[in-house]
Amino acid sequence: MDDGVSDVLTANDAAGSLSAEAASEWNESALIKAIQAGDRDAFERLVRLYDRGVLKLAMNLLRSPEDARDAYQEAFLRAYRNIGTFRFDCSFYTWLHRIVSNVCLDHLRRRKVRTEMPSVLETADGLVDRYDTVEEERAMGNPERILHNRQIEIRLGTALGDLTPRERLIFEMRHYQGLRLRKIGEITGTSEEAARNCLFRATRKLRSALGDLI
Amino acid sequence: MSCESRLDDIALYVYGELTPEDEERLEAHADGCPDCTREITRAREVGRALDRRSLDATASLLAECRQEIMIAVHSQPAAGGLWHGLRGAFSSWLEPAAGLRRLAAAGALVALGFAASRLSATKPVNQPPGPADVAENPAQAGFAVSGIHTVTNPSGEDRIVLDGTRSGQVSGSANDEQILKYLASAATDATNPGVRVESMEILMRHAGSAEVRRTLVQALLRDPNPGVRLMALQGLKPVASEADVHRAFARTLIADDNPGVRILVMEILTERKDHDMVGLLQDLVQKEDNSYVKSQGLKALREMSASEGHF
Repeated sequence: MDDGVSDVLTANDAAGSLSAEAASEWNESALIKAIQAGDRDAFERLVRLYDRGVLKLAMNLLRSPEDARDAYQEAFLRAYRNIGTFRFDCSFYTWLHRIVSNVCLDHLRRRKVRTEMPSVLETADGLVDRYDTVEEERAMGNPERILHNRQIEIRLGTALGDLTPRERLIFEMRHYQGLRLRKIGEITGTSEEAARNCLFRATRKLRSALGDLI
Repeated sequence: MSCESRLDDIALYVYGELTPEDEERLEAHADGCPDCTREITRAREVGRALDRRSLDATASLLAECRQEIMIAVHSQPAAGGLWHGLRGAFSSWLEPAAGLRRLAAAGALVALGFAASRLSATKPVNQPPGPADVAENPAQAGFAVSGIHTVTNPSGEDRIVLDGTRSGQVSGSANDEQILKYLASAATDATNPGVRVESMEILMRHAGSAEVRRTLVQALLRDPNPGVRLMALQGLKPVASEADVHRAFARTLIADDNPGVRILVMEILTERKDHDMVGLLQDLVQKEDNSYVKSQGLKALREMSASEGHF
């Protein structure tokens, strides 16, 4: 198996977004060459190989379907416009995720400098995170546990929002996408060591934000 | 090595990023160190709490994204060839966001969905909203909605909170008739595209109510914003066999100026194997300028075992 497909399998299996069957269905290199020769339908097939993971990354990083949708569009449109320059000297997964990372970082940086509607709302029932889901908690049905988990989630939400865009991206890729630090370094254009230090900073901040809750 | 300095190692340990030797060393140390054992347990609990925050995109969001990107791609020159050669000359267009917006403004097919819908209230050329369809001053009708949020309280109950333009808030369940009425009114507020999108997000899940269905049909036919029309379409999908919805789909297929909206109608009709629409689809593929929409129309006809043209 070539390096590209292997990367795809590793990363997407971890993210639960691409089956081995889907990866083997299309020969990635052939698809890319077809796109470079002007075949737009091949691009549609290539998009479908990767886009679940891309959208999930954007959703979790940006915590907004609208922003995730914009990031998805920007990333794939940039990929399409620049695919002529793709020379197979890295895997397509890495190349695409470099684009996606830059797009998401831009979104996060823009968000840092504009006033955002807070994700945590003050209600008569206390603080509520608008993006939280409670299905699991409903099933557990223990009010004290629910309240405790909610406090943890709210603190985590605030702490994640306080990370720098770069820390946020690297943490997201490691924790939610399951990417190895070496791969994250490749994607973000830094060393494995730099990615590791970024992960350290992020985990220290999260640990400190949770205090004695856990 | 102090236990404090092992905290970073513990972070790497729970993510499986330590070398086998370092992992072995840490485990051997933690075996006799209650502080480090506690830290490892704590790190794993933090991990589980983080997992609970994980979001997944809905299938409909993914489908819309796929549709939009392919429409955008089909409005671009093919990759490679001349475009590749000229790429450098247009490098400033490749900047994020600004480039995409400029491209849209330059006449490329937009379909940017919700984000655009919050920013834009332009009217489609062939669907000017009639004066009776949009309340220019919804406050005249009583409580006028300026913002909508869904809040889940600690007992797990979802509540819709409506902010009034002039006074206070109204809240209630999404099934509450009065809440649905306020939302239906907000969905036709020409002065506030953001609130139209937010109300549509909720109404699209309640097409079983006749009043909501009427609102969705009106939004599909009249709303100036393609993002809102796409949401109305999604909402009407489960009631596509109703006569008024069927008529609205036919009209949308031939008259809507947004290719994303036309494609979604085609997909719904294909899925339902609605042979009444074959004639319309045949007309569409003969006249359609957008290559992607045309290819989707042809695909829909093939899937319904229909020919491409009239005979």
